[in-house]
Amino acid sequence: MPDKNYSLYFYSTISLFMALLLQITPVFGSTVYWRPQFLLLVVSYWLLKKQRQYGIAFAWLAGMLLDIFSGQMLGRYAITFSFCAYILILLNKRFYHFGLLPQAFLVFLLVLLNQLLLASISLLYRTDWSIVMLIAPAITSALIWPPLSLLMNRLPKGGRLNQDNLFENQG
Amino acid sequence: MRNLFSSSPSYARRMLFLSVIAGVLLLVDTTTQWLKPARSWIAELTIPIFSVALLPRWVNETVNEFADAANLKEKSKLQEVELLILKGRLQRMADLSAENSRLRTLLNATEILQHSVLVAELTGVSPDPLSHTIIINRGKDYKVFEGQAVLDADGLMGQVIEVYSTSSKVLLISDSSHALPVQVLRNGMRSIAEGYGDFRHLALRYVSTIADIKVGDQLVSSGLGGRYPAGYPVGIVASVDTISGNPYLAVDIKPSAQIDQSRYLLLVSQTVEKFGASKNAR
Repeated sequence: MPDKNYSLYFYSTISLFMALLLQITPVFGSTVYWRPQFLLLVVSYWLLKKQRQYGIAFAWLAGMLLDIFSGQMLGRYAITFSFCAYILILLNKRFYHFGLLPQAFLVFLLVLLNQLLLASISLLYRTDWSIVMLIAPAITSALIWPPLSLLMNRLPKGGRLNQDNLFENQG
Repeated sequence: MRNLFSSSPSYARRMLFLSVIAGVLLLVDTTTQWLKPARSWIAELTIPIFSVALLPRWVNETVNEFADAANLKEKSKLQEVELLILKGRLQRMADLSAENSRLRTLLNATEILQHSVLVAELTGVSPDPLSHTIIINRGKDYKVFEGQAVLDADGLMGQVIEVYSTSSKVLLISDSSHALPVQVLRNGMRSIAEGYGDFRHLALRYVSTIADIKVGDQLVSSGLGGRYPAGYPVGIVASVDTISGNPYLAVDIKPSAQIDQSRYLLLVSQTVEKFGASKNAR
């Protein structure tokens, strides 16, 4: 079904692009610490939903994209995203048994893991990470996960996150 | 169920493989200059997307500006008054600079600094909360150079750290890796203003508890260190606190420049002119 896949790739590219825009839009003052990891959330969504099409390489590419835009230490988001993707793939079979709230909690842990990895890589040359920068994006990402996944379920490629891939993965 | 068991180790291997590639890139990028040319054209590619990301902010600003005509009228009136005041000051300035150059000849100073400016526009802001860098739309084509000082309408904002062909990257003074030699305008006391990752605050480090510094003091760049030109406003002392047990004062500075809001910036370049040459120019 090649045409189906094309539309899938179309929507995933568009959603990645939107997430990237949200990620790089400038905000005022210290609100920037509270910006959710939009790109990681969108990557996680596609990874969970279409595990056959999207794997670790997809997350790696998205991370590289964010690295290019953040303009320093090329490759650190690529590392953290691919590690998060690996964890997600391991958890995938469990993830769809949960409702939205437990999923949000898992997202909290995932983003926290991402921030911890980022902080430890950044220690290569700067040491000014604060506890707010570790936890704040994790909290906002967890809060935004339920509306985000509901919204993305509405995409024409649709179907619910929870049941769709149960069958696809076993094929 | 086959892929439950057979594919898991391959995922781990794939993750490790990709991480190692990224890790090598990371090390090469942080420790060597090999990726610099690649960075330059990558930066060019990112600019259109950055400008799309900046759109909502510009739309918001423009709508606010033009929303009500009364506001606009008032603004233009204010600007007219401001222009008049500045022009008045400029007349005085000609006199002062003539006097200054006479005095400098008396002091046997042989050269005079001429500052020229280039207007640039903000085209991108780093998404990383820890790196206070911005992208501006002037590069090699306008002879921007590394280390060039960047101002906004109210004060010093940062310095150019990377120059690409049509754009360049600016490190802001609020970045936590940035320090800037300053002096107190009132008494000439020298110090160093450091950023710590907050757009609205800078800190003076290692100011002795007996130093003559007060709330409201104006700080200007001292020109020491050779990076920044001397005499541009940096900030105003917002608070001076003694911390018991600490041999230094905690001095908080409010930057003059609107570091996270300004859209149009000035790039300053100073050219040194010998006295004989500058006389004809005046």
